[in-house]
Amino acid sequence: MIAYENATKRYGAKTALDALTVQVRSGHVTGLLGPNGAGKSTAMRLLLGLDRPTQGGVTIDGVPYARLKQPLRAVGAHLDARSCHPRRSARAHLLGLARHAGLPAGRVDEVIEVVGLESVARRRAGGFSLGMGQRLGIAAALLGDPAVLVLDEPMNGLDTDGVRWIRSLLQSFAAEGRTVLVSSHLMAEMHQTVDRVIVMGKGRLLADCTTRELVASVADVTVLRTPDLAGLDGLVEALEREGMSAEREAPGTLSITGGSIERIGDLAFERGVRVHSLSSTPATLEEGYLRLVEDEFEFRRAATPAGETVAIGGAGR
Amino acid sequence: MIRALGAEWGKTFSILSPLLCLISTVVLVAVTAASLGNDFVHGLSLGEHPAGTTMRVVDVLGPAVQFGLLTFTAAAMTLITSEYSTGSIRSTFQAQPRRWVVLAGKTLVAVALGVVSGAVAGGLGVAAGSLTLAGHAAPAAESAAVTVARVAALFGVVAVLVVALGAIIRSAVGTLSVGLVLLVGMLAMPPSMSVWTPAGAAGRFVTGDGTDYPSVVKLLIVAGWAAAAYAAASVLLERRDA
Repeated sequence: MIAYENATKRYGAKTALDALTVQVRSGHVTGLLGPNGAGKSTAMRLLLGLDRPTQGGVTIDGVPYARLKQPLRAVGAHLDARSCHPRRSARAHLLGLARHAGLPAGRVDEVIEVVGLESVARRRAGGFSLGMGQRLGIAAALLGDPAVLVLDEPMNGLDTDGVRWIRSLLQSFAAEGRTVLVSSHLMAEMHQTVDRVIVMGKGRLLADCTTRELVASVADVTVLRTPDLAGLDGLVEALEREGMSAEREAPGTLSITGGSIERIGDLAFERGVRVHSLSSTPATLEEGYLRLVEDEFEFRRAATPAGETVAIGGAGR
Repeated sequence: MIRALGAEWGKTFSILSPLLCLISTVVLVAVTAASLGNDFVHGLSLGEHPAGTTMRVVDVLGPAVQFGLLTFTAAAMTLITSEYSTGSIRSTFQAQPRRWVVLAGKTLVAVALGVVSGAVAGGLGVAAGSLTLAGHAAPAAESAAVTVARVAALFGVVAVLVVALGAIIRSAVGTLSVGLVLLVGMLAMPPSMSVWTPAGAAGRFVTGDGTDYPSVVKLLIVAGWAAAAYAAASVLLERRDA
């Protein structure tokens, strides 16, 4: 388990991480989400002891990274596709890390096989594509067969097969009771991969909940199309009386939230509004995430004095 | 520590540039010594020096070694500056978060490279100087073996200084520039001051110059600078973000 305790990091006048207190649980794939500059990478760098916290700290099963007896066996991490000498071969890069960590050289060949780089293992890493670079980074993360896996944007540059491979890798790790923390901007992909989410904004924690809870915070949207423009006003009134909200997207098209597709169909029928199509789109992680982030920044712009922490959305549900 | 040593040794030779710089160092020292010896003999034949003047082999070796320190700086600094320029330092610190161990491993590898390349460069330099000076060489005060050992020791100490500078400065160009100033540029200072600098002390140590104080003190001066830089590097490495 990873525990952030009041972790704060300032770079000069800029606060990259603002008193983050959160736990990343074992047995789950946890997604770290947030807009650019939210502090995701800083949070990962503090975890790995690469940056020193200004205040507070991070521990892995109670121990800060720098004091882990066998760091690569405890935590495998891949932060940056560019963290290898371009003129060094993939194998030599991994071998250097394995030797530092006291891992057997045979383990290097094993992870090269796991990530599928056997044919290029002796080639210079500088000639690798972004996807191959990602695989090399993931190989380095897997070297110590770690109990905690931390990956920053691992799906960037991977093809569909690669993305599916990462997804099953992460899920199998979590199923074995290990801790997995992964950040990505690919929301659709994260929706399928992670079962818990930590959402950050401007260096602070916005939400820490299950993926399902965050998705449930956004209502499903039902889209109704009708040629009956005259009956539309009456229908909108009827919908709103029942606590739904309806927005006119285009002439004859309503976007309705807050009600079931059956009830919407019944109301249209009762009012004699002819319906051409009625479809419901399930809410996505992307919508839940965007709602949370937008609400946060809207709210802060409108009302909050700078520096005050706001609890919002699915947090703690 | 043994692990860090093995890791850094393997990493050093998994890229070509350190090896190329070391070979350049050896060639540079030998060619410069030969060239200086040849210049002297040529000067004699033109009557620039009185007939019968002789020159010590160490006097052609000293400037040649000082020249070679520049390419050796390039070789030794690669161990650490290339990690910063490529971002691989983050992988290294993940594998070994005790940063002092990483610095010590790199330093020991650099010292080993320095001693070996210094011995080879010194040996070839003495041979090249002796060959070109031939009958015009002044009798040596010390055996060739002692002279070679001086060059090897100097390169070993300079290795510590360079790796420490690399850890402090992090950029390759910056480290090379500062190395150039410390190891050669400071010769431009008045001799009474320059003898206290690595540049002034290095050449005088190789020639076995015992003026002012015993020549071994000159190695200690370079070692003092190296120790100060190493201490600063250790503190900075622990404090700074990677």
